[in-house]
Amino acid sequence: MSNFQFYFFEFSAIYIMLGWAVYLMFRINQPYFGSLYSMCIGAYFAAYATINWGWPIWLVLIGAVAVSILFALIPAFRLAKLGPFPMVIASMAIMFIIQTVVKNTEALGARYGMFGVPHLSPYLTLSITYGFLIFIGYMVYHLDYSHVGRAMDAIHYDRDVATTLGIDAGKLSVQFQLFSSAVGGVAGVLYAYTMEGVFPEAFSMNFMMHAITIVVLGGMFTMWGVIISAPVLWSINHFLPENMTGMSVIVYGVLLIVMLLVRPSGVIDRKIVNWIARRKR
Amino acid sequence: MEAFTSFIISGIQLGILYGIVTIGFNLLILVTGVLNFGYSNLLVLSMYAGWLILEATGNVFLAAAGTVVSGIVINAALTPLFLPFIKKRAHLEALVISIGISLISVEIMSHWLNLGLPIAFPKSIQMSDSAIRFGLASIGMGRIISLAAGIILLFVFFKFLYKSRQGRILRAVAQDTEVAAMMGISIKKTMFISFAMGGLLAGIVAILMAVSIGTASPELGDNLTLMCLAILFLAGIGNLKGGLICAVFVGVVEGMVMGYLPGDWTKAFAFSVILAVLLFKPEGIFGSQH
Amino acid sequence: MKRLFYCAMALILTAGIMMSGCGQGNEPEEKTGPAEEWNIPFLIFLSGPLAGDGAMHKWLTNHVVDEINENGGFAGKPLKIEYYDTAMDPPKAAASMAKIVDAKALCLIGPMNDNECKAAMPLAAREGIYAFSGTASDDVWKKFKPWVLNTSSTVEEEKEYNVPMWIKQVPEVTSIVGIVEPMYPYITTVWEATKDKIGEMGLKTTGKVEVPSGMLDYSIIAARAIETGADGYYISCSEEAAAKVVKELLDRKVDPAHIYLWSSAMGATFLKQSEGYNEGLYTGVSPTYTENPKYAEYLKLYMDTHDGEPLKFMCHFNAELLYLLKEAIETQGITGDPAKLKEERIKIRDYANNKKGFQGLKYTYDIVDGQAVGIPRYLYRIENGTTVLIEKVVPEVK
Repeated sequence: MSNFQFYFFEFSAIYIMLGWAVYLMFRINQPYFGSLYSMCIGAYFAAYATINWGWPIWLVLIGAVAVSILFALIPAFRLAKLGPFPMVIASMAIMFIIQTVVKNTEALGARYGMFGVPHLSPYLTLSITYGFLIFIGYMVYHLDYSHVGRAMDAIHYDRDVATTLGIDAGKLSVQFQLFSSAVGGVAGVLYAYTMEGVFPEAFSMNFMMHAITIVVLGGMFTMWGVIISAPVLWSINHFLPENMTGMSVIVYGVLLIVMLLVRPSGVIDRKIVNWIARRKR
Repeated sequence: MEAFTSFIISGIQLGILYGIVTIGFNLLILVTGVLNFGYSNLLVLSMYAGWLILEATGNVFLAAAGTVVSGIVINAALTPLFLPFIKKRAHLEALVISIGISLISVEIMSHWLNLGLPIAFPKSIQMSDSAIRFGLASIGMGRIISLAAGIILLFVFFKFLYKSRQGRILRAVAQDTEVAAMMGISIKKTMFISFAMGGLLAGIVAILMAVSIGTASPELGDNLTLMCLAILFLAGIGNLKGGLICAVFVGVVEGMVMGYLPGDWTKAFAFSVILAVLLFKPEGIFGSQH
Repeated sequence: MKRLFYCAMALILTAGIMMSGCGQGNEPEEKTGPAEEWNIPFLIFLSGPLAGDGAMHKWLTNHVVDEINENGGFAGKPLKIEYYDTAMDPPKAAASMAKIVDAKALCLIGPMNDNECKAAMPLAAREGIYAFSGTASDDVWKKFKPWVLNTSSTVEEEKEYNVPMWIKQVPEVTSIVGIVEPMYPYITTVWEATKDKIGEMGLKTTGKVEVPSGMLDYSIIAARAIETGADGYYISCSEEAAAKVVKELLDRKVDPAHIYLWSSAMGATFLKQSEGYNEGLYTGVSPTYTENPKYAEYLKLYMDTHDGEPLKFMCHFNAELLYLLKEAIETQGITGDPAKLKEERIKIRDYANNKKGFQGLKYTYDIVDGQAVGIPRYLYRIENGTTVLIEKVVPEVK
């Protein structure tokens, strides 16, 4: 496998995971980005644990998931009550604060970042990544097509009505937040192993915008769109012709707008999913 | 003590600037429900337009007019992109559209305007030679004028929104789009008007920014967006007066932090305050009027 | 519905396996024999908020390439630069580096800034591909040597010359405050070293005022710096921030000769934004001064075609390394033959890492262990909106 293919598949998978983590929270109308700062936490945990303690990857993964869940738990019950826009701002604020703390902590390499995360063979890294991807996909799928999925729909359309139907929106939100953060933690560990290190600028605001666009463009009402939008959006500049180098961000922006105008409900919406499901039967 | 007062004064100036930009965000979110990430980037784009005219003609008044006109034209021209989503109340999709717009406008500035370098307005329009000084505090005349203009702008805007017929229509649409439509109000036209109004505000604020800070760069818009959105939610969506008070509050907090803590913590501290408010008072300090 | 899930997963897996399989089968046919053309990749940011800077680097590089090609290219064969845009995004930078490695490039120019280096260099170092990165900075160089070249000055030389040369002109300064914007670690490292030097000189530092990035108002920074009681001001922030801080300092009656601008703070943007407020400041870099007539020509050409705007001070850092590569290829008998790729990469590395008296676009310097040393140090004073050379010292190389 070529190096580029490795990065392509690895980052596609990481972004799909993140996309799913964000997607779940979008479904209950709470654009929560805890998965992104959990990714930062997971990546730093991985770097610290491998460099200073020499932990193997499976232990790092368990540790990172535990740390991100614990961290997400602190504001979870308060965040569960927020409406969509305040949720965006709260997530942004937490992300900014974490970034600043990391930048100023000597033990985490401050502005230099941490390097020297062991390099695993591409096939091992990809197997672990895709193993997790399928596992996470299965979990999301399971949630989506069960009574929880219907509760999610109810909350999405009207939270008050959902509550009168006996759905505990707050509890669901807390559970999803923790799940998203765990996914973020895993993604962070994989990120650190892929990049062989981590540094604070890697998790900036742009990163958050990227996550929003992946989910909205892929389709906010099914989990499948992310599978297409994540690889396409992150690797757009690698597939542009040579005379368009430097135009990648513009192409990205135009693509966002055009796609949303043409397909307002995302690349893959429920109609397509239902159509495929019917034909399969 | 001397330093302390100067920190406070600078903080208030900073806050007023934030406050004025926040009004634009507020207007759009109030009437159209669009959280426009690109708004301050477009505002900076109007500053660039004004600067280009000034470079070409050397006429300050022409440049000022050009700034306002470009603000209105750019914002109104982008309305059709948002319309389908506004009608469906699809806020997140509209947000993504605005992210797209903000990305593109930054690229336009960094690729094609002034070779991507920051622009500087002539020092004369900042009028900083005639500054008021006491101790370590120093306020340029341009700042005082823009402050006064900002307050007048706010006042006029409130009058328009609460006293005029068009203002009532805007508020009616904001409160209930469907009922307003039943009353015979054209939603499409109202949206155009509110985007154009947002553009008008952006144009005027662009002039005030040129006068009070004198420079602009492709990154300026993103820096503003972050702070202004935070202030918006701190005060409560749609709460115009609260927005101004919170802006000044955040400005002073930032000033104090900048005065006494290492620089990196300035924004983080301001965000901690905002986070605390959001977590314990999700409607904002002054409550939402949305 | 469950079947849908399994189908989709199976689809992803097969697509993945097929694509990775295809990749292996489709690997570019191994050409043997010497190269007919030198394809050198350049890892650079061409989009994002700093696209303007990237464009300047690209402009100068393209002109240097044309000049090299007019004079016979590398060893008689033409040179072609392939630009890889990172868009300032770490994963994209890493993936671009992967493409460069896959293309079996001989070496590369760039990566440009700290973050791109951090994202892309681990792979390059592991694969053994040498990066001619003029702007990698001291600490990145330390992490990834011997696979990266750094031609920005060492912290040691920054420390020994910056402040002493300035203080020689203004002996009345007794205490200095650092106004530092930590945009990248190098800025802080240099300030810490400078602080030690100030102590060694028997002067006092009254502290460090950290400048936050992207603020609208910098009067607080100026007030805070003055409040420390210093009578000398060492400024290392972005040009925009520096212009504002300087203006606020001068507004508060600070003697302009008591302000020293470090290289990050000085350039055409600074001069323009601080117009009317920069007379008599001291600085170590100049956007327009050069001793090399060749660079003067490029500068003039650029200014003529770009509204009189000069190239940024850092621009020559990467472009001039093409001359170094040319020397390496021609003196080491590099053929570009894929069969000899590994040894030729090492030959280039070893040549470039230790080169005495390399003639760059602006000045001549030595390279020791992949780090430029003996870079001439300058002190300029700003007079009538341009820089005037006060003193030049060539550091002794130990």
